[in-house]
Amino acid sequence: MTTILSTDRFRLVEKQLAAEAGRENVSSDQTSLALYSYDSSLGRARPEGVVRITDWRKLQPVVKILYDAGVPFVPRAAATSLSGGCVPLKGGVVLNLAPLTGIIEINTEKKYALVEPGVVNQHLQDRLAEFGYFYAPDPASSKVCTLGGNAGTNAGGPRCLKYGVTVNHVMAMDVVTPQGELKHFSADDPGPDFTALMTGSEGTLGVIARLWLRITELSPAVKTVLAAFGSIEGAIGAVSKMIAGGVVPCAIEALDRLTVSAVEAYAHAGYPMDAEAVLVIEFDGTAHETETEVKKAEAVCREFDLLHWQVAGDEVRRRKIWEGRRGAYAAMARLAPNVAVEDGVVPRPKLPEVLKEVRDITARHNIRAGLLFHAGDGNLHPNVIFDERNQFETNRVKKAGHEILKACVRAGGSVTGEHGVGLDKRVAMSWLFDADTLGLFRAVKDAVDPAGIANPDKILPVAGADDLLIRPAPPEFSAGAKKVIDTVRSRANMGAPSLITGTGSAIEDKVFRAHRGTALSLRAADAVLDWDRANYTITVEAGITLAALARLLAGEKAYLYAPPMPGTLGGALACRRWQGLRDLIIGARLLLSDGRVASFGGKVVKNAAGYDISRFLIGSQGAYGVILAATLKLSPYPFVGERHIPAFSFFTPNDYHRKLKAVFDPRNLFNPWIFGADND
Amino acid sequence: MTDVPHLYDYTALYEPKDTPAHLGALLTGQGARSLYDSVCQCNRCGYCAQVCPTFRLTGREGESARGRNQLMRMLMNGRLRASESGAGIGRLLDDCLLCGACERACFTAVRTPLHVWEGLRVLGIKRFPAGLRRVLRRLATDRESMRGVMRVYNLMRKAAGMFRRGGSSDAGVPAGAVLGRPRLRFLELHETEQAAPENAACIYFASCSEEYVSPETGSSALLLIRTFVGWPVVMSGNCCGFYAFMAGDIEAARAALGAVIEKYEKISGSRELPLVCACADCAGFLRMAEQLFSESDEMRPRAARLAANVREVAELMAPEFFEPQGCGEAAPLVATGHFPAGLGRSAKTAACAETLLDRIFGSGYHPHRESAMPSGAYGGYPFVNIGLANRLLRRKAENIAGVQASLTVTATVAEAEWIGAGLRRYCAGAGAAHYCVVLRNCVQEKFHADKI
Repeated sequence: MTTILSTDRFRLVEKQLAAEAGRENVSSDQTSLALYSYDSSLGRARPEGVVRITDWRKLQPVVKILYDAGVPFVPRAAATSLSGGCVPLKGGVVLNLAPLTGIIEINTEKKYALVEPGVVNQHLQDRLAEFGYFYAPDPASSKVCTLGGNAGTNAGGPRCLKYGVTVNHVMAMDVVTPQGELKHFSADDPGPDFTALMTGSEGTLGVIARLWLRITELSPAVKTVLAAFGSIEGAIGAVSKMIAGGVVPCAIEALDRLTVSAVEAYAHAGYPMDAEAVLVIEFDGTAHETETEVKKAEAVCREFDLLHWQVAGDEVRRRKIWEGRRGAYAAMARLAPNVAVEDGVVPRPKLPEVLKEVRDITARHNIRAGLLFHAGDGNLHPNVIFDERNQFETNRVKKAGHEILKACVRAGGSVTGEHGVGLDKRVAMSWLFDADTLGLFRAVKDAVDPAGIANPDKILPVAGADDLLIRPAPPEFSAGAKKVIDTVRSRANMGAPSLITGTGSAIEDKVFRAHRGTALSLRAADAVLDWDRANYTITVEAGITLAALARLLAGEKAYLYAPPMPGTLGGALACRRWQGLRDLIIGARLLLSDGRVASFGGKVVKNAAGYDISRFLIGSQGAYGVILAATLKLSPYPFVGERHIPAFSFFTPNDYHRKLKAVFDPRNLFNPWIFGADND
Repeated sequence: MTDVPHLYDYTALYEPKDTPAHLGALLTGQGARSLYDSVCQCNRCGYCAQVCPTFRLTGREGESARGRNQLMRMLMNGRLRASESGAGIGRLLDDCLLCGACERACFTAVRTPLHVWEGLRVLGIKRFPAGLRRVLRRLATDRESMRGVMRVYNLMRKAAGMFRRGGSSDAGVPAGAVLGRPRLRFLELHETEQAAPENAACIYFASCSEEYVSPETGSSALLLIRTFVGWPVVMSGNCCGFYAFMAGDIEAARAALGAVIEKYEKISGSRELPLVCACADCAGFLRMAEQLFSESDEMRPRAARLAANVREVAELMAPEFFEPQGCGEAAPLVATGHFPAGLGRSAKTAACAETLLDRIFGSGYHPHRESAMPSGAYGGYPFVNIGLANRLLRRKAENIAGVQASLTVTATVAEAEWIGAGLRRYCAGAGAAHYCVVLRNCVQEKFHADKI
């Protein structure tokens, strides 16, 4: 057997690639390799070749060639990743998607935009504004980051507090699989939600070729407020109380004193210099709504140590206020050659204590950092300034960065809210996820990309780093849920299939009677495991009926922002009784058919760590595992909108369904008839 | 091809006295820095990429400002050797317009154009054809030759035919008839219309393009200066050295700038008279004077003084002077502005010009998509890469056509000419003109031209 040197494998396919992509678009000279060895992080690795994709249709044949030759590939557009997501760790080929800048269609009737992955976020916003629309995810780097990258990392931005992150706005996508097949995934497809799985997968499960993105009508009025507080605790307290009081701005951004002073020296945005924390709060809606909300917010803020309250009187002042916030990175960047933007996320009420810890960490490591954070969703971005040429300083920055992330994890948060895991935070995944969950992530990756060529060695920790868990233990299951786990374990030993049921509202008993297996009822698993009132999240077991949950919440003026649905929470999720459920779920605990329990997501509304299994499972109809508990985002006001619940139907498995089924339930023990194996 | 590390040891500070052929210390937002230190200020955030015209056209990292910065960094720290990389590096650096859009977009204002400029010189890449370089050197060092050279240039323009009507607007205003006139030095018409130095309110820097290519722009600028600032002293026969600099000829550029500094000091004496330019390229380059003399203890403060006094006509005009929609019937239906970045060009000036145009054209003023993208004319770029220059021109014309503008207003004569030619090719019925010409029209309307 001839061993092919890694440096030769590109040569073997170079001519084929040139035939597909065009000779001028394939390069392997040292200059090109050096130019595609980096992104915005500190990571570096040279590829073996670069293929520039000028037409999205060429992506599929190019990937097929690479797959046939076993050459790894990394998709890259603007390469603004702050976590090393675009660095070709295993060499191979960098697929340069930057030329794919087509906004193919803007459909205001069906409210979507069809775009290529290289479209810059701001360019889409500009085009949509011409029609009176916007695309909700607006990362701070919107002027330069691309929509493909946004989808790859499940990016957020200031507006995501009200409108949600990227996954909430991806309606469908064309994906070139690692095997070089072009697949179309839609959030409306029956069965598990592959758009959720692909969003945030950082190119490790395929390359996005086109995206159908949900667009939203611009609000007729916008009000922006600058609120200065005497303490960070006061500012966070005001934010929590504001949200609890039903006042949900479209953005709440916060800056600490150091950042404010840097911003003022740079942008002269008129921020008060005597404040410990400054909030930039923005409301949108009708003129009346925004006026009312501003008044309510002011009343709340005055209950805390508010020093200044300034409503932008005109568009010029409004822009200036935002210039200050958006210029915070710039203000810090002027002070040193490098800025490391950390990206931890914690439940909002934990912000003050974690911010204090962040300050202690930066002081201990003798590094300078300005703190800014999305106060509404608990996403903090310490901007650490340094000079990467100073190895000692760089090491201190890296170490401090890890300690900050650990503090976030210990507080029940996550290691990334919107930047992605990439290369830099792989080890941090072991702090957040247990070995079973990491094993499941690996199995998903192996199932979709058995050759391991799609952006290899990203997201998942390297081998041997699985036992470093520092995340707080999740709340204990109720006796009813424990019984379900025991039952599944014993059935797993016997190889006995289970037919998962709740109230029977979705899958009627007669369906069960027609198929092989024993019923596995979730009705006894209906406990509330955690209700974080200040954070507006609740973790409940799946057997609780939605009606009971609604009654429970209404008692404390909290709501699940969804229309009334029959049956249990688990049933509604598993059968995707309402499409908007993907906007409410932020975490899940999944019972696998072998009795293991894996945990995904958490109590934070922004979380880009690992594959989004929680949302993937919506619509999986119990065929992949039992959703034992779910963590849901609550709303301070009741649902308004269409109350019609569409009829439920089973999905017909395709090859991708089967690939993932083999990961979650290889012996087909859960609802086996769906995958057609109950006639033996 | 020379390997950069031989000349720029990254461990050493830049020693301008040892390398007089280079820029000396680079004046950055973080203070004076060696070339390597300055290059290292880039943290690869990528904000420059989306404003870089060559990246926007090609989508190639090597054609982006970030890519070029990283190339320089890797050349200097030895991660990449020019001799092992073929001609690729040189071509990528040479493709840069040096337009400075990246510098304006960058949070730390990393001086990428200067890095690229130094890279080209160190790698021995000659940016313009040899004959043109010789002419530019001659113009920069011997200003008396300007007239002869410009005559030849104008004859060539006439012969070329395509330039016959210059960049005038077919919409009838305001440059149409004027740019077709025989090219005369406008000072031959206006030489008596200036103040004595001791009474002057400012100094008008008459650029070569205003003197020889578009006298109408010069006349217009003079009228606007008289209206808004007061009687100027006209500084004529100038070459600011911008094109010599773009050709990589630092000696010629310094000589030209030095001559301007001397003239300025002679006229202004101890007074801090504004040096008013109509040409954004000249203004931008004059603002860079301190950078060019950063290694000279004697020249640097003089250059800094000059740079501090440079103004552009647009920033001296009061918008409230103009009636809203003040161009009356002469105004074309739709106008758009082209005020991209350029070396030393001020974003503030561009904003002032846009404010003025917005006021006088009212709803008829439409910024076009990618309005910050250069048109391809910047710094003699058509002599560097005519293919990319034409692609930029076509894209500009398409964007202008997108807002159906019949008049495109620019900040330099060169851009008006280039865009005008492009519009004739791609967008019949539209034209371009310098903003001074457009605004002059409005001022004349207000005061009745014959009385001014």
